[in-house]
Amino acid sequence: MKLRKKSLCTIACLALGVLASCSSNASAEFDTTKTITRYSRDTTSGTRDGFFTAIGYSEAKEDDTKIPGFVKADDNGNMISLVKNDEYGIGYISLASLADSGLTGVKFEGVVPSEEAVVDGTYKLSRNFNYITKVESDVSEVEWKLIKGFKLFMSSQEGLAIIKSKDGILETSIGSATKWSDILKKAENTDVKEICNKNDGTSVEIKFGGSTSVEKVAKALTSAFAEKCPTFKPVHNHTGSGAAYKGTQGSEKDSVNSMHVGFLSRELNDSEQAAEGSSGRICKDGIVCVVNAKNTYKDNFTKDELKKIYSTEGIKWNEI
Amino acid sequence: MRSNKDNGNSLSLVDSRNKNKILIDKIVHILFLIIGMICASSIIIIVFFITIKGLRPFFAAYENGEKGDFGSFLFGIEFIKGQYGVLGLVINTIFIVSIASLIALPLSVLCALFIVRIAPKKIRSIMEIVVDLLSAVPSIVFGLFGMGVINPLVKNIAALFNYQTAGGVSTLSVIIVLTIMIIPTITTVSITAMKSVKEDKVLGSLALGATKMQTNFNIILKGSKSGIIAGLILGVGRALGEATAVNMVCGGASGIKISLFDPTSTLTSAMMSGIHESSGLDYDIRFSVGLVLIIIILITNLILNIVKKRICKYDK
Repeated sequence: MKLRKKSLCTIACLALGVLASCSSNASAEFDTTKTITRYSRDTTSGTRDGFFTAIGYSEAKEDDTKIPGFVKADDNGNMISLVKNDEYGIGYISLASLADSGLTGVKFEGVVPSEEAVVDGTYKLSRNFNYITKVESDVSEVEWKLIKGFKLFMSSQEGLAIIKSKDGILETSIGSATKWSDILKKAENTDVKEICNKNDGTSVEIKFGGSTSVEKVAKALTSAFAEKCPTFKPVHNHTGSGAAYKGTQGSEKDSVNSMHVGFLSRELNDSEQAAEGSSGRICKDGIVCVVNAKNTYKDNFTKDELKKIYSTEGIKWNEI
Repeated sequence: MRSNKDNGNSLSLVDSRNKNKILIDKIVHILFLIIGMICASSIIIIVFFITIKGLRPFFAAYENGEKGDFGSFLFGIEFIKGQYGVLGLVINTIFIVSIASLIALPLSVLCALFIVRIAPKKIRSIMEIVVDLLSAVPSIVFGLFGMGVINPLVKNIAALFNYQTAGGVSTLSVIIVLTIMIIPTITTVSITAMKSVKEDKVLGSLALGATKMQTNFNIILKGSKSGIIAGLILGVGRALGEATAVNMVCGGASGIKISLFDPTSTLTSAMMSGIHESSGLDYDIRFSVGLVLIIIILITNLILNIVKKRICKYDK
């Protein structure tokens, strides 16, 4: 009996201690003499690529030594919880997840991050989601028809609605786009119509890959297109933007890593020369620089300020 | 005559029954052999595959011209893209795991002793269930607990010393999470070991006039030494191999980071972070790190087994 009381008391005391230490210090004011904790994604992330390109610090895209002493976040969600835990932290996330994150999205060059500002180009912290396909001579006739059909579907009213539902930012309005049924009626698309109306139980595998940031949008698009076109059987294997050009038109186009359509969360670079008409933009995506909700010290960052923050180890909030 | 015939018939019946039994015996034998082979070969295949993949970066250049350097891999301190040195990670890992096991060992042994010898029956059964449940909690849950509770806690502790942390992401958080994770493992095994100490030894000790506490420490603890060390081996193995929970609270710094309140990284967290989007050397080098981890776990197990033999040498 005694022992039980004692153990209960101990447990209660321990719990109280934990609670007490949790609640202390929580309501402290923002102290600008504190060091900025810089959070960043790892080098393979498309968001990191987009962020450092936009703030004019491309050296840091692939090189961790350019942002000494940073703390690594594994993904968007991890970044959110890290900055949430740290009043003095700074990080960057996808614009789509800002609303539910509980963090403060900071203005970039004086522009409030919003979808409209991304579309009209005033908010510069954004990136494009692009695609690249194989060239016609490298694929069979059926495969080419399906690839063509998929490209058309992406620009159709139905396709755009799917992109928007997966948080992609569209440059054109959905209403002004052509309906899928109308696209099929066009004379130049009879080959697509023919293959999409074919329903004899056979299917052709079309491989998709590339950026993992685009994966969500890409999968939604292909599964919707597969419903419209029973012959189309999508297979996804997303590894990173780098694989998109390699697998479609680059060095691995004939290897096991080859794919019919590759996605990129960045622009094609100088070493990736796509054949004419084989690549294009799907939608835009905004990146937003975030700070803790308690941080009221700064509500606007310029390119140079962000660059200075990320390149200087141990920099304090009052130094910017 | 008739009886002879009958005898012959029944004999052949017994004979065929025996044959059937022998056949079934053989089939079962082969079946078990196959199952055994599958289990054993999976380990061999995994180690073989990891070795091949892990050595790949050092022998041939990748198409973008990258090639791992074995010397700088083993003795390099920074583990970042393009400059893979595993030594810093090894030191961090060994440091963190040793501290965690040093904290967890006494806690869990005393906890087991409490459950087996001291606690009243009701508390005993409840605590046993709790410990069993704890050891079944998936590591991602410990990771979430670490992020949501331990990180803020560490942050506040550091703030008491006027030290600013990255939201509590630190070596200390990793140590605490790992300690919580391996306590149930060591406790469960210790409980089993302590229960198997013969009751007459205990009674003998008490009859000789030893107090309960003297008996607990001298008979029970000493009698279950080898079991406790077996538990420690399991616990250390779990701590060394834990990736998810560690990765969620460590912060992914590079270099030798053993300061308690600063971000750190371990072998497992380095392997895990960003693996989904990596390719080429950056992908394959993680297999090399895995190989290093396997070797470290093997060495630790060997050392602990030697310690176990030394300690238990004079018991029998």
